[in-house]
Amino acid sequence: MPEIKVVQKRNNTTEVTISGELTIYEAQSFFTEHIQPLTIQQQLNLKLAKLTEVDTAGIQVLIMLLNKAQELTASIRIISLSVAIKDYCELFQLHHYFTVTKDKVKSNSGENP
Amino acid sequence: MSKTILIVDDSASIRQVVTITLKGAGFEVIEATNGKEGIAKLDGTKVHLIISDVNMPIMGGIDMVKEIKQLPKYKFTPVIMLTTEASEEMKQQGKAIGAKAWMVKPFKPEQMLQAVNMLT
Amino acid sequence: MSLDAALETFYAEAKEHLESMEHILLQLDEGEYNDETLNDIFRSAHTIKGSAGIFALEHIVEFTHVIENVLDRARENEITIETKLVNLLFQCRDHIQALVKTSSEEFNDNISLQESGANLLTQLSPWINEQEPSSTQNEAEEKLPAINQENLTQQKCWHISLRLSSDCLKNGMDPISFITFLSGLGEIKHIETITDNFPSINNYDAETLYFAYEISLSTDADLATIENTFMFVQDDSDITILSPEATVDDYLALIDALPEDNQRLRDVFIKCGSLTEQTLAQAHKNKEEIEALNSKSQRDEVPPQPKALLETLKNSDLQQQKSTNERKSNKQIRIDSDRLDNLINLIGELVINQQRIDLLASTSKNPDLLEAVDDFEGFTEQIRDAALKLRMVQIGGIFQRFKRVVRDTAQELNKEIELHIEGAETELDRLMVEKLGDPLTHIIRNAMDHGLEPVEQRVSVGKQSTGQLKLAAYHEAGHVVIAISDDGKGIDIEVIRRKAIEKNIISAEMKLTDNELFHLIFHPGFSTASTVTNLSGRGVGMDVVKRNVESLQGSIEINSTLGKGSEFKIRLPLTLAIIDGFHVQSQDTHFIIPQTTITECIDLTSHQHIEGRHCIDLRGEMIPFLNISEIFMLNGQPNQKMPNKKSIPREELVIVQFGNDIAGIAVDRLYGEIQTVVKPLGPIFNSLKGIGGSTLLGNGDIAFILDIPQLIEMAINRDLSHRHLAN
Repeated sequence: MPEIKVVQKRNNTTEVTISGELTIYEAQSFFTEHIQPLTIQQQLNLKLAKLTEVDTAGIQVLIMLLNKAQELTASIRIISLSVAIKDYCELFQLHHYFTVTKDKVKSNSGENP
Repeated sequence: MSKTILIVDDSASIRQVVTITLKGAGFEVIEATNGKEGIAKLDGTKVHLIISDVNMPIMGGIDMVKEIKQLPKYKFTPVIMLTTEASEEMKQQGKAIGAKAWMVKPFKPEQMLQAVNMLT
Repeated sequence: MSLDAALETFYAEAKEHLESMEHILLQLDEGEYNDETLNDIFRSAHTIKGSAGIFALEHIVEFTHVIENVLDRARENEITIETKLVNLLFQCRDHIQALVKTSSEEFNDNISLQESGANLLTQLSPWINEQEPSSTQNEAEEKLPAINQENLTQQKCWHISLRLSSDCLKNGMDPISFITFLSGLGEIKHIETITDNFPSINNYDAETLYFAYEISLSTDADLATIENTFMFVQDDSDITILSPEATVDDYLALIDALPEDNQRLRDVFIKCGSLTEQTLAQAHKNKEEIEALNSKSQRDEVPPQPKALLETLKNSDLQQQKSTNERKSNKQIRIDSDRLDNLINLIGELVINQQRIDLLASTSKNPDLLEAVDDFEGFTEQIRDAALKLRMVQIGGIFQRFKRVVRDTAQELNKEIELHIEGAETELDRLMVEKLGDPLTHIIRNAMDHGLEPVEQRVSVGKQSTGQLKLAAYHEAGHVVIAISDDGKGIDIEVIRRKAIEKNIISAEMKLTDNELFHLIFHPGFSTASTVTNLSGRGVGMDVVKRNVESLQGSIEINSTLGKGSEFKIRLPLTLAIIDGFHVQSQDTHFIIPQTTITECIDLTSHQHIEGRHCIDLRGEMIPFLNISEIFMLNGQPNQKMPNKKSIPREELVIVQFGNDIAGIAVDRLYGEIQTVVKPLGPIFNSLKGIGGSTLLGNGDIAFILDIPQLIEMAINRDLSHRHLAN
């Protein structure tokens, strides 16, 4: 099972860190247990540097998360990406979904408790 | 890390060719001569692909895949069914339990390797 | 493990399938078949083709493919099984057999084999399905107009539109594999992952594929190769591949057909570089001009039937196949016969050593040791028997072959002949079974040629029109008997006698028993048929048959009633490797007489020696006999007359029987029963009559194994020539 750490910050920011493997074997339970009930504030910060393995089911879950944030009109920032995600995006030319939002990285990470 | 493939076929020559081809391409291969043996040989090992004949003594490919797919560890393991004669009915039966990839014998070793590369 | 080893396995498998095909063809010929039978023969052809394909044995694949096609049509009842077809299929089966024995290179050099294959296919054409998948692709290329070339990006750019099956991920097929594979074929210029089809969060299923893809691929690969990428998903997926020559209208039609919003797709296609604003505009202008062509090319762009790639075969009865498989699943393993022979040789050595220990133990007089050795002997015997059993095969395999011989020969002779097989399950040493083929073939051909009469003749003497030929095997007194019988005209003893006199084999005055007369047909050069047909005139005579059988320690017996039919009985030992022997001595030399041939041992001196003949009177019966030391010139004085030297107190006579023939063998000393491991003699002993092999005794001495059938024959002949001379 992939690990997920959700930090609800006071500045209306939800910080989500996902690490481990996110593949079809874990996707469904991960989605129902963590993504579906997730409360997203105005800002969603995604930290994906430790996502060691990802497949299409995993990427779809992540996109579902982005879709959810979008529906809630939250703004999305991707803080970090693992090699696994970068490789996937390289193959499918999905950079427009998953690119590290550089300008905000520092300030956001600075607010980490 | 090399990927592991389970090959289940009662024809020794087919098994040998598949094994030689796959090992040559750097895969680990587990061999079994029928469905029952196939299930026994899995034994929790991480397998990236299952290649299985349909018509086999003791336990055929369809029944084997049906059982394997019940195991959480192999729920999403891709399966290539090898067959000399694939009736539509049999294929449907196979597909219903998740054996979507069918390869009709005869195939050349390169074709097999290509197919394996497509699914691993 | 190497491919060569796998190839060996293929040859063994092919052989089995060819045998099974022949077996089924015979059933077809007799009209005894059902759906399962047809399925079986189809599967055999298919498996041969399948495995041959793996080894790139194209010459086998090419021919067998057509046969498979015909058999497929037969099992689908699209064509009827008629004699003409069955005859042709027999020939085709034989041709496949010839192909299997031929390497690809040999085949390329073998014009006659190529021609005979082509010839068979021509003859087969009325039954061949015309609807073989034609080259849709070529047609597509022909029909496609070369207009709108300017629409294309500079290179050969294909457009691939993927709406993969939503179950794709569940089935372990991740688009990663396909896209990775495609990128190996060339360069993916653009791939657009369309996420339009994502459901709302409450309807989301994490194991369903929602992505759709539009791909622009620059490659030199052909359509088939690109299509191949999706061979495992195409059935449940919508995949459209547009060739570099596709027209704008093809694209527009595709956009119309796809579920997503058209404007959105147009944008995606432009992103892919597959369409440009310019060409889109031009397309509208040309629309009317190309309308007619459009519909045509659109049709061609749809990937040619997946069926061409993934063979679709119709209803086959799963249940039936299952039961066939279960029948075959008797946990068999395949062993290299050399290994088996080696094991049996080793057990032979074990037996000899056991006898050596036995000998040593008996001199020690240690009761415990003797008991242990006794047990050891028991186990050794069991091991011997178990090992020999391993090499036993059912004789049915070879009998099966004759169905074909009979069928073909009957046709050739224009006779009606029915073959009955009995005791196919009788087991015999594999080595013997292999050597039985030729003699059996000859006897059977003879029976059909000379024994069984043509239909008119049979009817005129009140017999049923179909000649009856029977091939039977059974056990009899430690031997296996193979009997070939027919209900034909029988052997005319008078004809034989006349012929034998004519050929100076016997003198006109000689009185011979029926049995002796029958045996004359085994005389070299003797032929009863006044006209030599091309069947029995094939060079080998019955003398060769006899020699073959004798080389297997066997004998032939003939029974015949004029007008009613004949029977040839071949009597064979169960095995050639280890026999129960009887140890005797003559002069200083040891001999072994196979136990199964011995009827009794008597004291020679106490029986009457018949005057003028090499015979004794045993309870009123004339028994010809031989003296071993005389036959093999053991004392260097072959003409020495009996009774023998005084130093040997008495002469023993071992009475042996083989088939109907009885003879006595005179020796100096009897030792008793002994397990005998048969070692073949070298080729230099081939001309030595009367010795079948050698063996080592427990004390290291060599003993010769007597060839009883040959010795009996010698004894009879000697007696015969005595009578000849006397007359």
